[in-house]
Parts: sequence; structure tokens; C-alpha cells
Amino acid sequence: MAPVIRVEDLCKAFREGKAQIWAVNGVGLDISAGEAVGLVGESGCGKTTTARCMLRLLEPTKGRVLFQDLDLTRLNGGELRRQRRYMQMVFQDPNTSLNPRFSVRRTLEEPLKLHGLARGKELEARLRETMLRVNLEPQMLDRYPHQLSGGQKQRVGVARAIITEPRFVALDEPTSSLDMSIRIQLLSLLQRLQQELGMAYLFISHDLSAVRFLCSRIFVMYLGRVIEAGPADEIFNHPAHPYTQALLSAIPIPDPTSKRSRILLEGEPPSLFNLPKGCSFYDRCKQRKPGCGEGPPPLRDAGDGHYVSCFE
Amino acid sequence: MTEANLSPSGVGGEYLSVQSLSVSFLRRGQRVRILDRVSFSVDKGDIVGLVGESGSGKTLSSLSVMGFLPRAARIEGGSIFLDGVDLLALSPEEMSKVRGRQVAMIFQSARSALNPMMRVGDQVARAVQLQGARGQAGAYEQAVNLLSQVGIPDAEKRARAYPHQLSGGMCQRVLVAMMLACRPSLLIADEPTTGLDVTIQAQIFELIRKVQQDTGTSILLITHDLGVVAETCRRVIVMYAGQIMETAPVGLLFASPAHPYTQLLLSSVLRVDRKVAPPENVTILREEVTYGIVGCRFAPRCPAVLPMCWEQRPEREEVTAGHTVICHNWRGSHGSSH
Amino acid sequence: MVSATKAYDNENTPGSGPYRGQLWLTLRSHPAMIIGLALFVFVMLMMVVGPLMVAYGPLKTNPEQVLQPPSPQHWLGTDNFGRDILSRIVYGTRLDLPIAFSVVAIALGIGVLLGMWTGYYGGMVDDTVMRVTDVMLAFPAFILALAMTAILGNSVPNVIIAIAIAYIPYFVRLTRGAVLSARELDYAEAARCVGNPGWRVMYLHLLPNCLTPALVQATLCLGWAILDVAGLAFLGLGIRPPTPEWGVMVSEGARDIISGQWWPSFFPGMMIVVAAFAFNLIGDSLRDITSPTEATE
Repeated sequence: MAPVIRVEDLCKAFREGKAQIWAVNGVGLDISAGEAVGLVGESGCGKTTTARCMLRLLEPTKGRVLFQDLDLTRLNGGELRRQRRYMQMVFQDPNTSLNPRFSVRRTLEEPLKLHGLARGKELEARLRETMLRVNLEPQMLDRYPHQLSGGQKQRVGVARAIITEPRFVALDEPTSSLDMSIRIQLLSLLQRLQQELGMAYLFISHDLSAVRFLCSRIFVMYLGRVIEAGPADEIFNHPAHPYTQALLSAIPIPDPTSKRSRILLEGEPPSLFNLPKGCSFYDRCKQRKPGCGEGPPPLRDAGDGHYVSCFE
Repeated sequence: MTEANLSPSGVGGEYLSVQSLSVSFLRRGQRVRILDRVSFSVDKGDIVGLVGESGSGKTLSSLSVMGFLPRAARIEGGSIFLDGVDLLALSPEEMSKVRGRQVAMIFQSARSALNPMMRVGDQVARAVQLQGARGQAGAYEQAVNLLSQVGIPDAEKRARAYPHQLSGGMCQRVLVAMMLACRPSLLIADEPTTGLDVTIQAQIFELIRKVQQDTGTSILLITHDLGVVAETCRRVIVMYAGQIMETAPVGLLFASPAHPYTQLLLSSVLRVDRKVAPPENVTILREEVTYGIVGCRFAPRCPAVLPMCWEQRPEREEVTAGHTVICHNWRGSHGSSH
Repeated sequence: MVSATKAYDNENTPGSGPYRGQLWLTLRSHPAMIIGLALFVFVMLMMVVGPLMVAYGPLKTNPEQVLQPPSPQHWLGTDNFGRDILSRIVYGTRLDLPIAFSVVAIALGIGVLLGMWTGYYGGMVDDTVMRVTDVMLAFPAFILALAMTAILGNSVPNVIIAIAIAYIPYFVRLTRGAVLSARELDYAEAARCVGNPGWRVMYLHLLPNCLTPALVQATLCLGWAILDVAGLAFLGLGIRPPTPEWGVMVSEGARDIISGQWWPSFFPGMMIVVAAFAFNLIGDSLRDITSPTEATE
């Protein structure tokens, strides 16, 4: 099945004074309809920047984003805005992602009105239907964000993203600000919505346990590059890249009886201002060899759709 | 990792004993009782986890122990015994002697806990000096020593840095170094790794465990992360809306949680080592935390609620040795968890 | 049974605006606001119904009653043309207040729109506007207005424009500051994500959230405008005799103070103070109210 969205060699550079940092450095990925792809990594890896470039909320420096047979990077303002109906985003912090002066109704009806999708009675019906879809009572349409709980606000964010029936939704850490008991509920809701509406999800998170719940494929990023990619189960059970191995082993498991050894990394990620010449993981890698310091490692195919960027 | 079946009396006598503590807050002109007769204890040398979601009162509890309550808060009753001394009866001067020597705290946002105008080496040195052991030069030397003990590479150079020049993880290590300088008998760590990357989090907890092993300090770890609890703590206290719900050794809590709230938490926990099944009932549970209920505050969300739960606070009951629960209907739900 | 939703719905019922329920609570804790509002109502009443209630016309001269001290026939006395001072003050509200409101309306309108624009888009336009406002803010507003009036010519509309121009930089700065922080918030990005073009994001989404500092400044500017209009009139710019305007009246009565007739200057002067004070109180209270409690939770 042709992917709904495909990214080729995406690069994004930021200028800090005279220096230029490559927050995203040649990222490629693809997502098919009904598929949930996880984009994981720690802070500074570039996952959020990648997502924003894919939606062209940020302008990519290089690369292509192919969405529904169109290259998003080549569209002008009006065409891009028309495409926005099909690609949406759910934001991380429910407290800042809703306009405090807008009622829920106003927030939700705007996408429909902007793209001319519904009016009058039909608009009202769409609003109600979407509210029920995210398990919110339609009475809440007239409430304001400060009258809602965190989980409710986040669901309004989800409602806003799905109300135009998009093909692609980027989810930027949607559960990070929520309490534990609400987190799994929101993820289940997202899962169910995907089954009902067949959207392609890009799930960005540093929380790998949430990714494990929702995603079928994963891309692991480190310092602006994809260093490992493949089916979720494959990566979780047999991580190939040393960074992925360390990352997975660092996550605490909520089970006192499980025994595992932990790979402890030394030090911290190097600053994006002076990246090491070879593999960007070189200075923290426990399995490094002399050859790893020359040039960036290629993306090797480890079988079953599992790709690793490592000299091993 | 952790011994799941430790004897209930812990590793030593009780060092911290909070008894029936109630704290109220002034909120929009009304006084709301947030902490409601909270009682828990930390034994000498033990690592105890205080678990709860937002609004559970866990941070307020720790602030009460340290004597750092904000002006809008008032202690309505109860006592806090630290090594036999009631902290609430102390004067501010006496309390400030207790802090640092007997109990210390590391916070969520490490950078903001440090003085932005002082180099970190000087800050640790000052902590060393306050303990009276050394003069100025000796204190600085010891400070650099401590900084390298907590795993800061290039300690001599880093000691000259200011907090804003260090990463979050580094700042947290500096706080641990300051704590080592003070050698408190009880360390309260309030969500010390929120906002830090998972690989850094692992390093910080490894550091805390090492410190605990080397010095025998008791640790009260406040967190909402059950994974951290499972791996680091020996005993767990579960809080909700300012009330204690359940207390147990870590193995028993995860294997057979008695309180419906604990069961809810455990059923919603996500894991990275296996795929977790979505919850069966999709009815969205109410999220809001209400402090106005006279009985058990979990009543609005409790699947095992009885009419008396709203009106009457349950008594503390023993499930097995070391495992206590505060619930009217725990037998009705006990054993029916996952 | 205790209602579990009570502690959580706040005082607002669905359907009402975002902050209406807390209005009374807020008023009660800011007595300055109440006083300011009371004075404001008083002045507004004077403007609306005053002229219908006074006994004398503002221009009616009476050579026999020149410079009479306050008396039962003339509560505030008469001036050097025998005109009743009270009537003139009351009629004066119909000049000073609308002029002040016009000035602020113009400055607010232009300043906010401009501030939002430069704050949102940044870049060279922003730099230029900032340098210009820097220069303008280096002068006291009155001096600037004085200079402008000299350039534009001495007439009432010009005075209004001149003072408005002097105030615009304040509004530009305040709004720009608010927009700089607001545009980083997720809801601004969400507005773009949903398909809003830049101008809609700016003016429909961000503007309502960035207006507060400008509105507070506006109430303060009302007070300053009254002072500035009166000040310019005192100097002979803008409104001129025999039109009853408070500044003009102070100016006309100034020379009689030496000979002991204090009332022709004093009462109009007091009126200026009262009106400006009212606006200042309202503005200060607004600033106190909106700063800490904007984020209600």
C-alpha cells in the first residue's frame, strides 16, 4: 500500500549567531494509512522539529515531504492551507494548546468553517458527533478551557485534530502532561479513533512504553539522524543499535520481580554545535571501534524491514 | 535489583514518623483541607516511595516535613516525628539546624534550586563549610571531590561553572553532591528526574542508590512513575487527594494491591517490555480531585464504592504483615486485580 | 450526598463568558476601582445630563456679575466675563471627555494593530518600528504633542491627532511584548496548523489575549489625555476662548489669582484632577487585577 506520507532526506538548520546547527539531518520515513509510527528519541534529537517540518509549521532547509502525491515543500501559501485539512497535529500541553478565550465550540468549528466543510445544522451535528467520538459530552461545547480538566482539554485537542477527517495526524507527546491513570485511556482512545477513521499516525514521544502500546513501527532518532528503524516488536525485543539498547535498558519496568541488567551510558549527548565527525554516538558508545570515527555510518538492512545505522 | 520480600519492620527503627498530619490551603478565599490525617513512616536505611498523581498531596507532605510550607498553607493538626523529635514543635532556628543535618531535599527542577549567581563549586563548598568540618580552602577541595564522586566528569573545571551553564542532569548531580556534604539521615527526593531524559534518569537513580548503599541514608522518594518505584523502592505509600490509600512492601503492592485506587493505577501502567492490553471499559473515569468529601476521597471514582465511603473515613486495616490499606471495601475488590 | 462536581465547576456556569462570575469578588477587593468607577460615573453623568440641569448658558456673559465669589446664585462663582463657572465646567465635559476618548481610541487602534503586526512577523519591519518608537518615547508625551501641533497647525482636530501620535508608541510596545510571548504558545501554532492564514492567527486568535495590557494603558491614557488637552489649551493650542474647556478656563483665570480671585482657575483645575484621577484609579486597579490573576488557576 502506498504510504500516505513520505519524507525524503529532510534537513532543518537553525542559525545561532554565526554557527549553524542541524537539528534534523537527513531524516527519511514513511507512514501508511491506518498505521501508527513512533518517532522516538531523547531531548534534542530532532523529533519534534521533524514533525513540524513535515506539517510545514517550520520551513525545512532541504528535503521533500510527499503527502497524497504532492510535495508539500513546493506548495505556495494557499495550496498549503488547503492541504492542512488533511494533516493535523495534537499538541503536548493541554494548558497551552487551546485558546483560553475560545469556547470549545469555537475551537472545534473553526477548522470546519475555514475549509468550508459544514454549515448551520450540519455543522452542529458534526460538532456533536466529534465530541461523542472523543468521549466528551456535547454540553461541554460551551465551556471554556479553564473549566475543563487536563484530560478533557487534551481530548478537545484530539477532537480539533480529527474533525476535518484528516489522513495524517502528528501526535506530539500527547500524554506527557497527563496523569498515569488518564494516559492509557487517551492512548486507547487514539487507537480506537485510528481504527474507526483509518488515519496515519506519527506518534512522537520520549516515553517508549506509550510508543509500545500504540505503534507498529518505530524510528529512533539521535542528534538529528535516524539511527534505527523497523517493526516495533522487532526493535523492542532485538534492538540492534547500541543507543537503542541503552535507551531501552534505561527505562524502569513497573515490576519488581523482573530482573535485568542495565546499560549505563556515560556522560551526556554532545552539543549540536560540535558534532563528532563519524557516528554521532561515538563518544558514548560502549561498542565503539576505531572505524566508527570516520564518516557517518550507512543505514544497513538487518532483515524484516529492520534498519540500523551502525558500523557493526 | 530490589528485594521484593523484605521483613515488614524494615531495616531499622522508624526514623520519620508522620502522624495524622492535616494541612489546609487558602484557595480563593476558602480554606481547603488538602492533606487529611496523613500518616506514614520511613525506617532507618529504608527506601520508601510516595506515589500519587497530581493533586495527591505528596509534595505538600514533603514540604511539611522540611518546614517549607508556603504562606497560604496552614497545619491543622498532627505531628511529624524525626528521630523522636516533633518537628512541628520546633522554633524556626531549631528547625533550620535540623535541615541539612538530619533531613535534606532534592527537588524537581534542580537548576532552579541552585543559586544562579554562584559557581556550583562554591555552593557545594558552602554546604561543606556549614557542616563545620573544614575551613574555606579545605571545603572547596572537598567540594570538587564530591562533584567527581557524583559522576561529574572534569570536576575541577565544572566546579567553576554557573548553574545555567550546566544541563539539568548535571544540576541534579550538584544537588546530590551538596546533599552528600551534609550527610543527612533522611533524604527526600521530590520527582528528581522529571524533565530529564530517560538515560540521564537512569544515571541519577543509579547515583542515588549508590549513595544510599555507601551512607545508609533513608530515602523518601516522591514520584508518579511506577517503574521507578518498582526498581528503586523497598516500600511504597500510595496517596490520593491528600489521603493515604495503601502502604506495602513493593513486591506485595505490585503482586496483590488491595486498594481499588492502587488497582486502577496498576491496570493503567504502560510497559516497555511487553505490549499492554487496552482497558476493557471505555467509560472515561472522572478525573477531578475533590477535597471536600468527608469520607474517602476516592469515592467518586471508585468501582467498589459503598454508600458509607462518602461519609466515613475508613480505618487502617492490615492485609498481611507490613501491608496496610485504608478502605471500607478492600476485601470486595482484593484479589480481583488484573 | 456531597456533590462531587462542585469543587470543580468553579463559579461559572456553561454559557456565560469566561470571567463574569468573578467580577463581583474582584470588585470587592479593590476599593480603588470602586472609587474610580464612582467618579467616572459622576463625570459621565455630568456630561450627559449636566447641561440640562444648569441654570446658565456657558457663554452667557453678565458684566454686572464679574468675578463674583461662590454664592447661592453662582455655586462656583463667576469669571472675569461674568460667566457662571459651574455651567462652564459642566459644558466643558462635553469637550474634554470626547476629545480624550478620541485621542485614546486613535492611539489604541493604530498602536495595537501596529504592535501586533511587528511582534508577529518580526524582521526588518519590527526593527524599524522599534527604533522609531524608541525615539518617540525619549520625549515626554506633552512635548511631543506640542511639537506636533506646531507642525500640523493649531486646530482641535490637529491637537487630537498630535496627542494620539504621542501615545501610539506605548500601545505598540505593550502589544508587541504580549504578542512576542503569545505567539510561542501552542494554540497559536495550532491555529496555523488548522489552516488559518497569518492575519487571522494574529488578529482573531492572538489579539484577544494580548489586548489586556493595552486596555489597561488606555484607561491611564484617558487621564493623561485630559491633562494634555487642558495643558495645550492652557498654552493657547487647540481649544481657544471663549469655548468652555477646563484648560482654557484655568488659563483665563490665571491672571486673577494674584488679585485674590482664586475660583475661576481653581474649580476647572479641580475638575481636571478629578477626571484624570478617576481614570488613573481605574487603570491602576485594572493593572493589579489583570496581572496576577489573569491565569485563574
